[in-house]
Amino acid sequence: MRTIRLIATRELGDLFGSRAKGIRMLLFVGMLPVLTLVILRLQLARPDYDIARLPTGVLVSFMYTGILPLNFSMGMAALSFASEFESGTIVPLLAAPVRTSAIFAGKLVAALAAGIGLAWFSQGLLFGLFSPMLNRPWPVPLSVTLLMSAGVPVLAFPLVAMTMVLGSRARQARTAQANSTLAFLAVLAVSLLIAWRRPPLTPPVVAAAALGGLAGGAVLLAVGMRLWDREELLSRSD
Amino acid sequence: MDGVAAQSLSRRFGARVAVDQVDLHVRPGEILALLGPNGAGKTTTVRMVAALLRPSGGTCRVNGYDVVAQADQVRQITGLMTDVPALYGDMALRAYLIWFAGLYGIAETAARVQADALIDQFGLAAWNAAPLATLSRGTQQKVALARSLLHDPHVLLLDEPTASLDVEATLGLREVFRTLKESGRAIVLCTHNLAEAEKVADSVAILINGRIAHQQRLRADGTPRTYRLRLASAAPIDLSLLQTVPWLERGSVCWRGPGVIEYATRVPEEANPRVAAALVGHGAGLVELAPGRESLEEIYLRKLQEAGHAHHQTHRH
Repeated sequence: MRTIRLIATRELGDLFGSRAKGIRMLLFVGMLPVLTLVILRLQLARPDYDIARLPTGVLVSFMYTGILPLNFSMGMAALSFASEFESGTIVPLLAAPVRTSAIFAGKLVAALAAGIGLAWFSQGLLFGLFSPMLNRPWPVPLSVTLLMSAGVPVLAFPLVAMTMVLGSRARQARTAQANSTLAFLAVLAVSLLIAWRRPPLTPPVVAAAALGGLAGGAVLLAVGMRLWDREELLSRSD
Repeated sequence: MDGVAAQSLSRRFGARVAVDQVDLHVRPGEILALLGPNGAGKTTTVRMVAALLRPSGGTCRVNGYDVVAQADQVRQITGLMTDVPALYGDMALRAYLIWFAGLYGIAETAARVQADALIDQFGLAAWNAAPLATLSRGTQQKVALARSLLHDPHVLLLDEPTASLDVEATLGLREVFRTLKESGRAIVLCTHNLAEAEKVADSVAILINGRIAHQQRLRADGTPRTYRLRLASAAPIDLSLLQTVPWLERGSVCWRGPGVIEYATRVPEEANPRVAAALVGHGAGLVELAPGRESLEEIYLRKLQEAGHAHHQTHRH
């Protein structure tokens, strides 16, 4: 557990290492809900705007403010191994008495924590600034709002696990990024499937989706870890 | 046995044999220099000793631990320094060392103490809070060496540690290697710098095409050393005149060609001037007095030539 924590804190330190880096990141992620609210405000000011559409619009915005920051997670996951291969830092890491699965888990935890944290920050900002900026109460039931927030980790886990598996197979950062775009294709496929089938968001459907996501992530993780032999990782650094 | 003991160590990558039947023995307090051109198998050998690569054949034990069956124990007592510092550039020096000590299971407080001790030992205190990327290459290599010593390893594996360092930094690191040796660590030093090997190592092994082409001790204290004297004339002289010279090994004085005398002694600083004086006193002109054996460089070049390697891969500092 200590190795996982050490690896994770180092990865997070790389992302939020300095105050300037952290503020830049939060500003970047914070722009999304602020811009969304500005657009909603402009929409609401239009005389022909159908107010009945507001809850759906807010729900969709809330969903995307939770999804888009996961890009950071995916970026971290894709590059975390490739950057170690390129710089050779993986060699002293592998020479230490640590399990490769712990290295992987540490990197995964960091990528998930960063993405989920930023996603919740972004969603929190949308929720918190909604009333002050639009002068009206939050239009979505709180239970649905919380469900949407709780869905972020469920979505992030398989996505980040997949990105990390694909990214770690590359020796170079550029290839790792290219590999990780395949994960986006999976997201796109799922999105299209949802748009096509339009499944009702009933508790059994949501629960099945959550379990499916977690199971998918776990399977990816298990497959990935079987691929990461110490020698395999070392060979990519040469 | 303490230290490193490898027998018939081999490693294949597919059809390519990178290391072939290598025997190595390094005792505590000794430095073995592993010489060889690029691609000779030095790094692969060191990685097998460090339990990073599994041998395809043979055995290797580090302080008695098998590198395959007891890999974690081997990693726990082995320090590896690579040719590139391989540091996280955004981390501060002290924080990095403390963080890395954690990977070896060292508790936070002990890690701080150990990091501070190494920072003092290597004169790195001025850069304590500096991001590692801002340090010079020589200083980064010192940090890498400090990192490999955090867990107080019994065996140190140094893979081209002075590659791409300037002369001053190289000399500084060599001094550190000597100190580490004196502290009782068994050290394997991979290099293609012959001068470095001669200056710091107790023994050398020349690795060519994955095989040990030559192995010798450099500092066999107490064993006789051979010297050759070249005379101005090839006319034979009576060698019995040298029997009166003390410190010469009994029966070691002989002719090694026209005008070339060879002898062995354990105390050359006493014997050599007396041999020269004895010969000059009998009217023999002295042209040269030199170690009788081939120099390491000559051996290295000959072995490379035999293996069909180009000479330009060797360099001396």
